[in-house]
Amino acid sequence: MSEQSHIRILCVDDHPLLLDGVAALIGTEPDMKLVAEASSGAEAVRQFRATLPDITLMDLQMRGMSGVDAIGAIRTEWPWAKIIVLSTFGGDAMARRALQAGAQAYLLKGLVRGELLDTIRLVHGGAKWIQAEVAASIATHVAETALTDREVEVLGLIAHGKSNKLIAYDLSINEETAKTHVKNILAKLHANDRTHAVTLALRRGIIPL
Amino acid sequence: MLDIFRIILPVCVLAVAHRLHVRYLKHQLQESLEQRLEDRIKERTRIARELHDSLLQGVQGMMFRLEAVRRLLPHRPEEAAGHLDVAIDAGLAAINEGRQAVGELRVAGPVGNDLPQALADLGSEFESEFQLRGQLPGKHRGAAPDFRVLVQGRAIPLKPIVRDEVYRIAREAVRNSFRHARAGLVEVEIVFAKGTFTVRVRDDGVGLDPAVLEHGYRKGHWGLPGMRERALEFGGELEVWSQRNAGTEIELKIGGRIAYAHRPIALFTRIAREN
Repeated sequence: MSEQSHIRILCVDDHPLLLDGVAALIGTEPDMKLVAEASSGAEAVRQFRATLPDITLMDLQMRGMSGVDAIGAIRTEWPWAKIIVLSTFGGDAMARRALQAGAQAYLLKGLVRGELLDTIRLVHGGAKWIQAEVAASIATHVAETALTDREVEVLGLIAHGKSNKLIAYDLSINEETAKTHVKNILAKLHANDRTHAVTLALRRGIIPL
Repeated sequence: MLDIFRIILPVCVLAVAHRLHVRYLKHQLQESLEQRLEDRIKERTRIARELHDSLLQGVQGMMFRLEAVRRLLPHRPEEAAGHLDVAIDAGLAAINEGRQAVGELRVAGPVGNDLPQALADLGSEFESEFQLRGQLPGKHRGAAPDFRVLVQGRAIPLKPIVRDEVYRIAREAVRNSFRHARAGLVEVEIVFAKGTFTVRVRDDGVGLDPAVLEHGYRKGHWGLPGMRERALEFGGELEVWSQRNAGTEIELKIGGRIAYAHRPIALFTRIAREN
């Protein structure tokens, strides 16, 4: 097969074993070629610029620049870029952010049996694809009031084990305001307490791990 | 009249003082409950992160490779066999990483009574982790650093809680040295002095990033602030010293009264003997 007809792929993930596995799988397909790998969002943008791949496989949870930010950066500079999210988590908030940033497809690593190669070909052909499980979780929460940016910030601090007092200190607000934020967060997430709120937020991808 | 005042006034003062004291105790209790809840949230998040970073990613990578094997098997069985070998190694690596993550969750167990020995055992643990990480593509290869534990003074039993926390903090420091310092030597020094218990973990590696040193942490890393918070929680003090390309030393100091276990049993046996 000529070089022209290869689907050229960039794979972005911060775990070497995951990159290895995907590389092995792509290596079995005569019509695909892995042209570059990256282990962070910033590196992904650099590698994209260097190789201009047809398809980018993007993990979301990485240290440093996140996958969502990388998708945004790539699509701003190269609006034609085709990006498939390959994530561990099916949380609706995270999926929504990734799709809004410009991803064409969203796959869960744990549910991808046989689907990755098909999805690569589909998206290469111009289609969009969201796995049923992900679509369902987006649909479940679509009518709910989303958390404000400030509330997401507060939630992140709760996950780091901070008390209202420390949250207030970190955000330069007073403790009563911090308490109000926490109260609103619990109400919006239908959470019983702080621990529950963090668990739900992690599951839905509202805050990164 | 004056006499009555003399009696009533101190009573009033006492009553007010008592109420304030009760309120203070209640407040303290509330704070300690909140602290415990917050610690639990933090711990849960850490566990989730560890699992995500190690076990889950490793196994998922392996699954992709197995899928490759499945596709190759009918027509290219020899290539498939090669992939299977790699998948088996990757599986072992994932198990080992997962085991490390789990190991950190139950450190209370293996510490036992012999802290110096428990710390000495870290050497072989991190050495094997180091070798394993070296085998992963794109990772730093090279020799694992030498590791030794020095003990000064005669060992005095520590309180179990302090012992476990000291172990956790020292373990984190040793792990950082093995993982990030590119050191030739990692050394743990334990000093049993009468008034103070001290542990120092030092290496001769590349030193900490100045930004990390200044802010106490790097985004996404829990190491230093976690250690410092843990130390403060039980009344210890953590000092970090680091110089670019000269190494890093982390010193944990705990007052003897907090650190050492009282020994009522020794007293009992003495009384028993004297009688």
